[in-house]
Amino acid sequence: MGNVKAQRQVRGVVRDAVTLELLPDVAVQVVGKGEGGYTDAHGYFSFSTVEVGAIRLRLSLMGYESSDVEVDARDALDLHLHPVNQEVEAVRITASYGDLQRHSQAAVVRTLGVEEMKSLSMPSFAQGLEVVPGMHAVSIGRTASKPMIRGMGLNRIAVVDRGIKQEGQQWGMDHALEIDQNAVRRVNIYKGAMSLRYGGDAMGGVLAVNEHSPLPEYGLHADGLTWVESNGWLTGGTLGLSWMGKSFFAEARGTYSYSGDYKVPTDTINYLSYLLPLYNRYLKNTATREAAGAVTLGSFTSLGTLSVTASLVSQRTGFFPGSHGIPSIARVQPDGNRRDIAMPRAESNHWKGILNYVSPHVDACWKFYVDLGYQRNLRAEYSPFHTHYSNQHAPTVDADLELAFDLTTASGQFHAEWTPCAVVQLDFGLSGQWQRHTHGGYGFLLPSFRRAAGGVFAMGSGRVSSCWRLEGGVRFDVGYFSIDGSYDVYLEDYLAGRNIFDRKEIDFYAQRVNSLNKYIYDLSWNLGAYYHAPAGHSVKLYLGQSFRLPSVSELSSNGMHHGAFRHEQGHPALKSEKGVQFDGEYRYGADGLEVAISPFASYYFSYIYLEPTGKWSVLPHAGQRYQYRAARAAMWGGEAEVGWHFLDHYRLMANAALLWQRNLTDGYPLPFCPPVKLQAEGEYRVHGIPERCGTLSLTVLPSYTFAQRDVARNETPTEGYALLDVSVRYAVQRRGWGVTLTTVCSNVFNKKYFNHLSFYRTLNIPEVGRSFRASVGITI
Amino acid sequence: MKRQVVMLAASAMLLASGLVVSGCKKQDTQKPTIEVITPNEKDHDVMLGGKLKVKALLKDDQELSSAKLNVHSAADGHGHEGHHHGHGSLKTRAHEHKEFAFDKSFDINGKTYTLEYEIEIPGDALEGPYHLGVFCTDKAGNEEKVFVDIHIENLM
Repeated sequence: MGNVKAQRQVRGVVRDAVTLELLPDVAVQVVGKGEGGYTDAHGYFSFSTVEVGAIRLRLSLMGYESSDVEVDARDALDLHLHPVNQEVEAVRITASYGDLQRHSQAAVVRTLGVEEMKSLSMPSFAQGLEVVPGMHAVSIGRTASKPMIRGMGLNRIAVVDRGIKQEGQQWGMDHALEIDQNAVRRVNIYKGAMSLRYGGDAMGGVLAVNEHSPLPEYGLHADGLTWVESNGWLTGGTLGLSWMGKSFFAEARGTYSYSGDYKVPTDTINYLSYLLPLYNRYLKNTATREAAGAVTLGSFTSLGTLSVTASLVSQRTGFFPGSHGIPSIARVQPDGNRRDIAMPRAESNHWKGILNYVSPHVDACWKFYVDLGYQRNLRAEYSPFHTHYSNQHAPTVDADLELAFDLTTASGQFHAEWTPCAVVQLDFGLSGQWQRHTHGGYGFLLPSFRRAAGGVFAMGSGRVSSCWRLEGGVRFDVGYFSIDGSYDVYLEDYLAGRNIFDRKEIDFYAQRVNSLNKYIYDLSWNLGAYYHAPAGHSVKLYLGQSFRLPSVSELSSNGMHHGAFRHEQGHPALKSEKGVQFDGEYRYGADGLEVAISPFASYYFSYIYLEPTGKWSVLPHAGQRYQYRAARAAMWGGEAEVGWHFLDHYRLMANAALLWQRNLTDGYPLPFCPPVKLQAEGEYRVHGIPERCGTLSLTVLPSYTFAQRDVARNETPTEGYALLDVSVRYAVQRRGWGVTLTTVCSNVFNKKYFNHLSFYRTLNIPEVGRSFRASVGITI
Repeated sequence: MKRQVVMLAASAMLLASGLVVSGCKKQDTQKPTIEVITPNEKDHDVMLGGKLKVKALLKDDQELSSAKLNVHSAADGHGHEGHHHGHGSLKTRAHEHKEFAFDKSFDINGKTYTLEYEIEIPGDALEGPYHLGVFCTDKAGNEEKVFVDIHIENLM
C-alpha cells in the first residue's frame, strides 16, 4: 500500500474485434515509455512496468487500426483491434484468468479463482468444489474429504500443486486431501484424459491448484477470514500476508480450524445387525482439527521468475468407533467429552517444498520451465491395542499406534516451449519422480517399498484457420516398483496352533506381501480441436489416452483391510490401468446468458477392481476373499450448465451432472459411482443500496440427487434426496480494504440422507442435518 | 451450421449410450439374508465342554452358494498376558486354557437353506466373550454376514 515504485505485470490477449481470433505479433506498448512487448502465437502478451494506476497502452498490427486504450486492470486483459476500413474504436473487455485458460487450449477446463474459492466456505476443499457439476467429494466424517471428477477419485485423478503432483495415501478410502483450501489462489479443473501433460494418475482429470505460479498483487496486502458453524461448533480462521515489490515477492499464510463431535438426524445406526445408539444424536469421537502454514519467497528479474514455497498441512481426524471391525455397544457409549479427539483416529502431516522457475523469452522463441518438489507425508492411525493372535503383545513404545505410513517423494519436471513461427507452438518435457515408503505400527496394511517413475513428452499446437486451433502430443512413461515382502509370524503361530491347516495354507495367509520388482511401460497421447466462432459459440473436442500405475496395494496386498473389513488380495502381474476418453464441450455466452454442455465417453482397456472370489478366508471375522483384477470398463455421461443474469440484480443458474459406469468384464456397475445430480442457484442482489455502502445478496441453492441403485456387488444402494441451502451475503469494497459477511443455513429442512460416496455409508450413518454457518472476511 | 452439427452429434452420442445401457441384462446385486434362530439374545452363554447349537435360516432371491460359521475371541488381546486357571478340582493342575477358534464352511444351493450345526466347545477353552459369525454367499458373489455375541463360561 503506498506510492513505492513497484513493478507489476501487465498481461492479456489481443483479438480481432470482428472474428474474435487471437492475434499474434501485436505490438503492445506503454505510451511514452519503452515498456511493452509482442503477443505470442496465442495472442498473449506479458510485460512488467513501473507505472502505477491507470496506464495507456498502444496496440499496433499490420492490417489493423492502431489504437490506444487506457487500462487499470490487475487481472489479465482482453483487448480488441479493428481491421482496417472498420470503425476505429478499441473496446476494452476485462477478462479473467479463467477465460484465458479456456481460450488457450482444447482441453476442457474450468477455473475457480480466489473470490469464488472464498465464497464457498465449506469445511473442506473437495466439498467446496462440488459447486462445479461433475465434481464430488468422497468423505469420511464432515471435514475430511477428497475430490472425485466424474466418479474417478482415489489415484485416478491427479491433484497438482504448483506443478508438483501431490503424493500421500490417496489410494485409501479414509484418506483426506492434505491441501489448505485457503492457500488456493485458483484451481484449474481439467476433465478428461490428461496423462500427456501430467503423467500417471491423470486418467479422470486433474485438479491443478495454483497453476502457472500466480503472483500476488503489488504492494503489501493482508487478508483474514474467520468462520463458525453451529453443528459441532466448527470454528476456524485463516490469515494471509503478501508483498510484491520491484523484483521480489513474498507470501505467508496460517490456517487453523477445530470441530467437536457432530450431530446427525438419527438416534440409532443399524450396522451388521447391531443397533448402535447415538446419545443426543452425536456421533461419538468425530471431532477434528486442522492446522496449516505456508511461506513463499520469489523474485522476478530479467533472469526469469523464481519462487520457492514451503508448506505444512496437519490433520487430526477422529473416527466413529465401530467403523473398524465388528461394532460393540460398549465402544459407542459417550466418553463425556465432545471436543476431544480420542481413539480411533488418524493423524497426518504433509510437508512440502516446491521450487518453480520460469525463464524469460530466449531468442524470442524459447521459454523454459522447471518445477522441483519434495514431499513427506506422515500418516498415523491410532486405536487401542488389539489383536486376534494370542502371541502378539502390545509394543512397549507407542502401544496404540496401529499403522504408520512414512512416504517421501521427490519430483521434478523440465519443460521447454518453442515457437518457431507465429501460428505454431511446440512443447517438450521430461519429468521424474522417486518415492520411498516405510511402515510401522502393531498392525500391517501397506508394505515398505520404493517407486520410481519418469516420462518424456512432446506436443504441438497450431492455429489452422481464423476459427480453428488444433493440438496433439505423445508421451512415454516408465514406472519401477521395488516392494519388500512381509511375513506375519503371529498369524503363522495362530494358524499352526489350530492344527487344521497344512504348511502351504499357513504360508499363503502369513505371507502378507511377496517381495516384487517390476517395470511398467506406458504410452499416452492426446488430440484436440478448438473452434471459436463469432457471436459467442465455441466447441472443444478432446480425445486422449491416459494411464495410472497400479498401487502397491493392488499389486501385493494379502490380508484384512481393517477399514473395508474384508480380505483383499493383490495381483503382482497387474499392469497400469489404461483408457481412452473423448471429451466435448459446447459453450455459448452473450447478453447475460451462458450455456455449457460437456459430454464425455471413455473406454478402459484395463480397469483394476476387486472381484469377490467366492472362496472363504480363514482369517478371524473374515468373509470371502476379494482379488484385484483387471477388467474392461466403459463410462459415459456429461454435464450441462446454464446461467442467466438479468435485470442487473438477478442471477439464475442450473446444472446437471450425469454419469454411467460399467465393468464390461463382469457386467456389473463400478462401485462408488456418483448418482445423477441437479443443482440450481438463484441470487438476488438487493435494490436501492448505494454502491459505496456495499452489496447485499440473498441466494437459494436447491439440489436434487437421484437414487443410486446401479451398484456393484456388496455395495449398498442409496436413496435419492432433495436439499436446500440458503445464504445471505454482504460485501463492501472501498479503496484499500474490503469486508465480506456471509451467513449460510445448509440443509434447511434437516433432511436425513445418505451420501453414496461416504466412507461411513456402509455403516448407514447419515449426513449432517441442518447447520448454520457464519463467516467474516477482511482484505486489505 | 457447424454448431448444429456438433450439438446433434453430442446428443446422438448420449442417446446411443442410453440404448447401450438398457440393452444390458440386470445383474444380481441382491444379498442373501441370514436369520439366526439360535443362539439368541437370551441364551448366549455356552458351557466349557458343552455344545453351541447354531441354527440359521438362509435365503436368497437367486441361488445360494456357500455358508461359513466362525467363532473367534472378542477380547482385544488385553487378556493375553495372563492365563486363566481352572476352578474347583482343576486348580491343582498346571492347566493352560487356549483361546477357542472355529471355522467351518458348507456348500449349499437353492433359494432357502436351514443351517444347523453343533459346535463343540472343548473343556480347556479360554473363558470370555466371543463372536459367532455366520456368513453366506450367493452364486453371483454377494455376501452377507451376521455376528452374535456369545460368552464361553465355566458353569460348573
